[in-house]
Amino acid sequence: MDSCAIFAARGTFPPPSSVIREGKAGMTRAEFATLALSYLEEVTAYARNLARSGWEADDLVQAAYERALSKWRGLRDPAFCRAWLFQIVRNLHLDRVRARSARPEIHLVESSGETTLPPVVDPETVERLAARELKSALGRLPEEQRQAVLLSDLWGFRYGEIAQITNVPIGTVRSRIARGRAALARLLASGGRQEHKLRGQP
Amino acid sequence: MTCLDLLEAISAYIDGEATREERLAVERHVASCAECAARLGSFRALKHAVARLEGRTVPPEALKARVEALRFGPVRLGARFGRMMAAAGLVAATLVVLLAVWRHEGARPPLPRQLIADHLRSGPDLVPAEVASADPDEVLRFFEAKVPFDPVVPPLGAAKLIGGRLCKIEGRKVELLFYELGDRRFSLYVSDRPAGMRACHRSGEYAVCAKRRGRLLLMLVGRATEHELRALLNEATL
Repeated sequence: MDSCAIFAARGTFPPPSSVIREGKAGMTRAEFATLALSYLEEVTAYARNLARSGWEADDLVQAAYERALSKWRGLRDPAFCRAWLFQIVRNLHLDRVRARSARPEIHLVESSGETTLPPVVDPETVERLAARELKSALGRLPEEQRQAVLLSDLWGFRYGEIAQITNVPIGTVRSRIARGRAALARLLASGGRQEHKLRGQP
Repeated sequence: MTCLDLLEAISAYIDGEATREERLAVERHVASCAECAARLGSFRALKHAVARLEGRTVPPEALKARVEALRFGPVRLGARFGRMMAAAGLVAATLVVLLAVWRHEGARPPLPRQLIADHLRSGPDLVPAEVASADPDEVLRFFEAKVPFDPVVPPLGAAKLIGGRLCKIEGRKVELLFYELGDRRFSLYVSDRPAGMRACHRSGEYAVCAKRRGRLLLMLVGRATEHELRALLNEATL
């Protein structure tokens, strides 16, 4: 198949390099760059979600694009470009966390809840939930569960892609998403009570 | 199987990620367990609520500029070194062209994968459309006498037409029509290709499905499930 992008470009601006298909995905570097940059806003949102500050997230985004644009030939299929960028962001983030010998994370949701059924939250209550309240509840989930739920529900990745991004087996992804949703239901069902209790902690 | 045993399967069920056996087990169980049926509803509501949060952040201008600059390469080299590299590059480019032509002819990925790849790099947000219009008649006029068949611009359910471009598949000129549904873009390739693609194919979060309409073959690509693509194609009346 002739690329429709190239067919369209030939009549106007045909630099020889643009018709040389390189890389495993059969794209030119320029095409890869255009595709990768089209995900910049989502990659920025994901980095902000992982990093502790805005400047750290921005630094992560720049480093991720530097790596992607130097290793672009390794991308096998353009359909995985978005997941690949997310994976690079996450790997870079983990490298940095390890490098500063991260303190153990404090999980505010009890893991003992996993052996009991979560309460049923009325869908209408969820519908009426303000974005701020939902974000606050998400922020209280264990990090791995929060990331799995966001990658699935906010950015629409399939389990297989989340497994690739987070470098864990699919079974772990399934389990993290299910436990994350159960924990969210517990937090929302407990209403403000748990919120006040947590706020009262030092 | 207890309600607790089924919790993970219920979560996978609403994501369309449960196995066939799990799907049947969940459906059988929720038909007789009101609490799990309600829990399924609450998980689904949570999924939709998270999906409504903002998944994009406009990057600061400075970051945008720095990342955009990477498009043109990492570091500028000195002029003399640059000239030397240019001479070496000319020789290398010739070899690369020969290699590229050889690879292009020799090892093509299957058509569905090529269509998804093309959808990703030829959208109007990346390369300007040759005809940008929501008016089917205007888009139709653009394709008249450009393709070797009577052009069509079918409606695609709730997806909105945004334009089109002429392109080629395996040497045959075809229509490439662009549609939008929410924040997603769909590419519809209309061809008089005789051999059809019967099934849907998936690659990552993208899928391509084909449907024959008379002597024309409609191939729809987008970030969607196969079910959604088939439903859109069913709306494509000529």
